[in-house]
Amino acid sequence: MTVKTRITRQKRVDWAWGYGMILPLLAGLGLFYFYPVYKVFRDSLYTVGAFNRSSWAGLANYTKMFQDSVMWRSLGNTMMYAVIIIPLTVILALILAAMLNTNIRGRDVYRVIYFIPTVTMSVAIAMVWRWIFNGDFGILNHIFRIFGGTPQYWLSDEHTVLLCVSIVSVWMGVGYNMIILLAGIQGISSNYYEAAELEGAGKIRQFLKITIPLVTPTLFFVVITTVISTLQIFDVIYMMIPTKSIAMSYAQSVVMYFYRNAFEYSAKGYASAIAVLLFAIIMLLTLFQMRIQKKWVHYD
Amino acid sequence: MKKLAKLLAMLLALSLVLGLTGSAGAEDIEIHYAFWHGALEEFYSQCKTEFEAAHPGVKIILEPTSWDEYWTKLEAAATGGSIADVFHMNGVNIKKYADGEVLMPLDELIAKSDVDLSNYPPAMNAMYNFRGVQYGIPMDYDTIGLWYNKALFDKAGVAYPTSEWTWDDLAAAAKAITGIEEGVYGIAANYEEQQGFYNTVYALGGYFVEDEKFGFNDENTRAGIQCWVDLMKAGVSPSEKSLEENPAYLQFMAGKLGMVFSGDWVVSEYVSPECSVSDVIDVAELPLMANGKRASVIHGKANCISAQTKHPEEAYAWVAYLASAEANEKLGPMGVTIPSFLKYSDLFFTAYPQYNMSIYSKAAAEYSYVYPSALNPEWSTFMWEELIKAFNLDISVDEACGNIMARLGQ
Amino acid sequence: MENKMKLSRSGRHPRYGKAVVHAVLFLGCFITLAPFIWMFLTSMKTQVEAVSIPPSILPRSWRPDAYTSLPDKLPFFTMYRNTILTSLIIVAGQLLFCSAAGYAFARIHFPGRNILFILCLSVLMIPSSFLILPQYLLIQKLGLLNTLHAIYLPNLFSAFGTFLMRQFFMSIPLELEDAARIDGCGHGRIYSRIMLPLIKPGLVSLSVLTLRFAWNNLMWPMIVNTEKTKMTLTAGLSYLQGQYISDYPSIMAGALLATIPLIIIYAIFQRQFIEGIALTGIK
Repeated sequence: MTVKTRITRQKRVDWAWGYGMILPLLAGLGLFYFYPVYKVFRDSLYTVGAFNRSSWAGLANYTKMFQDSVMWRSLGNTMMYAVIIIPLTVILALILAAMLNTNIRGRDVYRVIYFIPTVTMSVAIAMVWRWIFNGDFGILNHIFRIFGGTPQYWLSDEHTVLLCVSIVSVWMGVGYNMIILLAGIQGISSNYYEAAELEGAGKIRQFLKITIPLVTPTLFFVVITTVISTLQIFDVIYMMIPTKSIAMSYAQSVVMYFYRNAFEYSAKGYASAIAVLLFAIIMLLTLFQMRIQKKWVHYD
Repeated sequence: MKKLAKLLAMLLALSLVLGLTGSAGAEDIEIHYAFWHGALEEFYSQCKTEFEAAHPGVKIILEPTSWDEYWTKLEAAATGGSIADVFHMNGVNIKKYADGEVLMPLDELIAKSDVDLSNYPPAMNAMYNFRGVQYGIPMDYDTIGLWYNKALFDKAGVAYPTSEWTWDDLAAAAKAITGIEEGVYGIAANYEEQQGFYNTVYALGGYFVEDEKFGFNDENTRAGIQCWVDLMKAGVSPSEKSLEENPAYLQFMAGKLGMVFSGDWVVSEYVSPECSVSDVIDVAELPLMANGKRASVIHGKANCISAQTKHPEEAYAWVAYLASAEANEKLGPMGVTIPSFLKYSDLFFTAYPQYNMSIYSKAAAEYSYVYPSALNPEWSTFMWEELIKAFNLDISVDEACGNIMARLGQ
Repeated sequence: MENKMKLSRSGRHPRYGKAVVHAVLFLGCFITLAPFIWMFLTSMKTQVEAVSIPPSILPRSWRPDAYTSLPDKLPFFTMYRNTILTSLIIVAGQLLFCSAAGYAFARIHFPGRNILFILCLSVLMIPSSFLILPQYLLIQKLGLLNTLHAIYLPNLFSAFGTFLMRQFFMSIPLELEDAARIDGCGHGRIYSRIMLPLIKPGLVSLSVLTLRFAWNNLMWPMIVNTEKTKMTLTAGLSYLQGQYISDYPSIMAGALLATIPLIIIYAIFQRQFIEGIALTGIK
């Protein structure tokens, strides 16, 4: 009897500590995230015009969305970004991380250099890349001409604009993910490699047979975060493509379209419906990834 | 870890103190003034000094914002009820803000003060008049002129543009100049609103929006757009894509263009030391269209007062000061923008004696048209999304205009 | 000696392999750094030369005007101070709130723990731009517009940071905690005396990641603050962007000056940072 009461008392103390320690965080998240999310859901059921004048709209925003071809194109673009950016970022980050895990000279300098793009102001970066891609005077076309290629208006051509935005996004994202993966690789016990060396396995074989399988937990984290951030792609488009560009509809992402509806057309109700849709997509994709992780992620 | 906790506590306390020290003395009335034109900051800080000297107890807080964020921020502030007391307004947004009851009606305040609206261009007053109520007092204006590169004209053996010039003359000159040097084109004929087809559409008697009805089915409207696309087709202009990536004024400054339609605000770039053609360029009136008429669209900023301001009288005093002869006389010679006070407009031109700048005030006085705007700003998005395809020669002007009307539901 | 032997055994062409690695890394460095070289070159040009066409690669005359004139164009040092201050507060806040919550989620059993944790994680899936407007109205209601509080307040609470912290705490063996419990320590003591010192590299990692985010946050400070003296550096530099022509040399100069401290901090803490991330095994 006394033992039992002691356990329950101990439990109560635990509970109090548990709730007490998460309370500040939950209060903050509640105020600055959950309440705004609730507002977004609510607004998606209203027609909200300029200066928040709203009237009940029921599901009108959603039905409008399913008929809106611009919305579907934006969603398609976003998926294209995901298809290009995610594999490129992850693969490049993984290769670089593996290379920087060796005892190569200048390793620490490389590690710092590759991290620089992720800490630099995006406004400045966007301007530099605009110059690189410039159709008349850009460095890229200059190089293309030397090799006998045809110059292009990369950023205003419907076929290339999405690729250009993707390249810049990859450029900005590789360094960060590389560091995370490097940390994952360092967590792998050196015993595995020593055993492989004894068997005479080459570096590339070691990379494929040891590094990749054992780094999958970290890889899983990197993939999840990259998927989420890529589906939310906005900054690079916003800063690299002029608003009135022929290529805008070929580059526009869902968040960009949300932004234009909310802030340029003052259609906040409709914008909120777009937000809800993207939120649902991201949520489903993340849950799906959680589901299939057992198939490819190896935990020790 | 105790140290860490101490550090945290100190940081938080420090931040609280910092947050409290920002506000000024409680006795001063603060008038917040939001504007976007960075080059005007010096002018405004001069005005602030003089105004504060003349109005003890009133403090002007200048709040400049970059153009990219200005409207996002202004709308958020208006929605939250924290909008500045006085702020810049433009022709695109005036109807939305007036209709949203964000702006204070000024008629009574104007009547009581010594501000006389007849001192400003009538088209500018009209722009800031919504359903018969005056909501803003113009502070500057812009019209459009035809800039040309004399060196390229000479080389092609073409006479310089005159006030008698027609659109056909322009097209012929553009053709003669194109290719005279490698990479040189006659004119920039890309999708440009204020510095492009708006002017020709009005000259030909077309319109964009009247009483929330749209004019893209009007044949004059279409003709005013078609004349530009014809130049594109004739190959006398860099492509739409080229001009999108390298704006017309920069190509003109690099000596790659014979002619360009430019607003007066670009002149400060044209005289800069890095402009390679400063000495061989000049400006003329826009050409006459086939019907013998010409038009220049006029646009400009106005100062508006928030309907929510706690100090309407002080706010209006500041607006009235900015609209006064005194302030305009100071603004003109700075060469930043054309003062709206017509008597002092020409002072702007004295900053650029080498060019024929008076065509800008002549345009304002004789053939200026109000910049088009509608309650719902979405129409202009439909317009550029469709017309830009026509300028890129993907579809015809008629098809683009049809698409616009279809998307507008008219 | 042993090293040498390993080297010869490990690959068929060890020298060749190293050369390839070096070549790839070097090329990567070039691609990474080239835009920064361009940034630097632009910062030494005049405003019009920076946008002139065709672009000049090297400045016609090298002039540090963009750097020296920054304090005249912007309250540069005030903005720098604001950036440092708000970033530090955000880092401190996240270290405090996220480590406390992370500890509770990892080490204390209480009803609803998993649900609450998933609720926290769901925040990660919401693009921050969706929330800007409601968040703005909230800050406005709190009367905090145009204060430094507005900049850091919503950012003190991070779902990502909590997730990371939980991972760190989970990596610490249970035995340590049990031993402390037998000694009569409560959660408060275990958390502050035993756990926090053990996850120091983790705290460094979170600090570096948070600092990077807080330092470069652009949209939010710009929206909530209108006065230049209450602005952070990144957001403040946007004043140099004009409606027609932007002052690119100054933007580049400012961006470079703003980035250097972050690079230095990262260079110093790089090893601990990586070690910290490794500690989580992020699972």
